[in-house]
Amino acid sequence: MATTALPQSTYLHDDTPGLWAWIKSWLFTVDHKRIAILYLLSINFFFLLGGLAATVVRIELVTPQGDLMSSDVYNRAFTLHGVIMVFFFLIPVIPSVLGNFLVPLMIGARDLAFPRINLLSWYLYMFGGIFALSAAVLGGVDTGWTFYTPFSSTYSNSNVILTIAGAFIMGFSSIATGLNFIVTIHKMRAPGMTWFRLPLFIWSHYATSLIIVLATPVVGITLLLVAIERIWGVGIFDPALGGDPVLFQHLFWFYSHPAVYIMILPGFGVISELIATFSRKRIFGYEFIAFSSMAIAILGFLVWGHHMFVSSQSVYASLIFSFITMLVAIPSAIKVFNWTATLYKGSISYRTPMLYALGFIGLFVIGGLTGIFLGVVAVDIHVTDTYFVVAHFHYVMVGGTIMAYLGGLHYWWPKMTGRMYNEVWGGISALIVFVGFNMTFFPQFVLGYLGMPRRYHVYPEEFQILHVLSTAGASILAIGFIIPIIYLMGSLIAGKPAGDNPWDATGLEWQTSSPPPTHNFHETPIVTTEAYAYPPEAAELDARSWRPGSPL
Amino acid sequence: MATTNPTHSADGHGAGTHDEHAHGHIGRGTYFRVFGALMVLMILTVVAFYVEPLLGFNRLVGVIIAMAIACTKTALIVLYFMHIKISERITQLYAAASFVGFALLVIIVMIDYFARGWPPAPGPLP
Ligand SMILES: [Cu+2]
Repeated sequence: MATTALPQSTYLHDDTPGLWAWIKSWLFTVDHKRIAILYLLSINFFFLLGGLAATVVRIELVTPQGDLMSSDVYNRAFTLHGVIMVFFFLIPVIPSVLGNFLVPLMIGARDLAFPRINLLSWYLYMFGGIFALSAAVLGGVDTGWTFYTPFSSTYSNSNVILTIAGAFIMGFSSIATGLNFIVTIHKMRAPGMTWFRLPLFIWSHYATSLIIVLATPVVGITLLLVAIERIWGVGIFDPALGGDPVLFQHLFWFYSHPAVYIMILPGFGVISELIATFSRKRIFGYEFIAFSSMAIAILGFLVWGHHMFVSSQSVYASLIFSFITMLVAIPSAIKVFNWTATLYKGSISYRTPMLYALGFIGLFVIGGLTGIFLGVVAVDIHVTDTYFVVAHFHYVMVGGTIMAYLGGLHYWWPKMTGRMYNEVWGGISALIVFVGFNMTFFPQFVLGYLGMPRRYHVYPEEFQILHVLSTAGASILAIGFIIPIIYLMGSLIAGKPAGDNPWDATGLEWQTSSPPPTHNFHETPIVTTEAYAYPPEAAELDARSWRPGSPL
Repeated sequence: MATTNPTHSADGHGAGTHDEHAHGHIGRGTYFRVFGALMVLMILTVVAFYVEPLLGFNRLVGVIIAMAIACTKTALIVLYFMHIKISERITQLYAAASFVGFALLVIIVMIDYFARGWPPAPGPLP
């Protein structure tokens, strides 16, 4: 509490009398920054719950026998983990927390286009979350997060409908956010903020919103159809009633493959910001990175059949889906190459956000390349539904989305709270996350290739060493997630005031105070330069003036 | 498409007072006429269902007729009730994009169904 030189009138500041008025000022706020904080708290809560379920799964897998729980309880544990992590953490996390906070700030707007719809999206998120949690409390679901029919529609006797209702409602929360971003980015850019001056974070959020708005309704209807079949016995997916279970997979993956890009594209946006700032360089190939986001968004709609190579899908369909899946590698590789080209001859400082960004690049490359293995029909048939798949998507989701989220959270934390966190602990925990992550999931590639199927709680003894390694890694990973909670909360009390622009970064969000005032800018900013307008010689000047202990 | 639409100005809506509506306005009369058309089309669907067997139509023809009527109704709702007819270009683009997405879903799924079992899968080994 020694140094409290934070700006006086900020979005966090209240002059409301009494506790109830204070609570109301948060729960009924239409300020995008406050809604982002509400999302931050609730999404992190769900992350911890999903992590708890993962812990249960990993502990069971320490021994080859099913000695901790029955197969039935195990099914419910991994389903809970999957449903919470996918629908209530990975999909909303970056758009709803960082996007909500930063989209208006980065384009020089006072708020999102529809502030009330923004608040509604948070309530829908919470409402959906309560449904999903009540399903868990009332006995859980055992279908897996994919709700495959005919098991989910006919045979499962667990709380399928409640969970589906939760995911369905949460879908509307996504749509509201996506709609808001699209309209805001089209209509509310500050004077001079042309499309090609937008930060890449905005481009990636625009691409993400496009996917959200076009794909989410499909999963909503699909889940509704499952509920209709369960409740009224209408034959949609059950062959005994004239339906087709594979139709479910088509509809489900039509959303859920693009959903992968809903999770990872905002992460790409974060990484572009971090790499440019901490290399002190104009990003290499701005237009290519921007358009590769759009290309991924569009191609992502054409590859869903790669989840169905063994589901009696026509072999010709598999062939085409496999080919288009390969094409997705092109825009993804463009991004990775451009980030590494940005690093080249940059003045790189290994601050906490940058450590996460560099970790992201490495892990995403592994996750992306194993995706190519899985996109090849012949290899996929061998490893379908094994731990190879589990390892692959955790490398993309955890190694990609979570690394980007943590990197972004650290990068914009001073802007959100006005205070700096402990840099030493930040660096340590970033390294712990990286090590723990690889130790958890790399053995799973080996396990899967050796034939360990996913979603089994009993396994042959020769797999034990790899499973124990994975569980040990998971506990290290957990420590890596807990440390930031502690020092970030500590920074709220004892953190040094950050100042407006602690990273010496470009971008409109750094031109206003930290934390920003309620209406973001005291006067509407006018943009005259491109994004990442670091002076060409910035890197060289930095390098020359650097001394041990220099801040940047 | 995104030009002003002055054909329905004789109503009490205060056309053109908001700038969002600068691209045109749909009068109350039009809404009622569209609603009437939708009702007529709905009755037509039901009538077709009962009349087609009497005329000895193939079931496929029946499906095509029902789909044609349904598409007409969708077009009316999208153009008038959802204001796409008088919206900005970008809104029209998004509406078109959602149809393209939907068409991709239906066409690709149908291709898969059509091509199932080509070539015939080898049965269980003897
Ligand atoms: Cu996929």
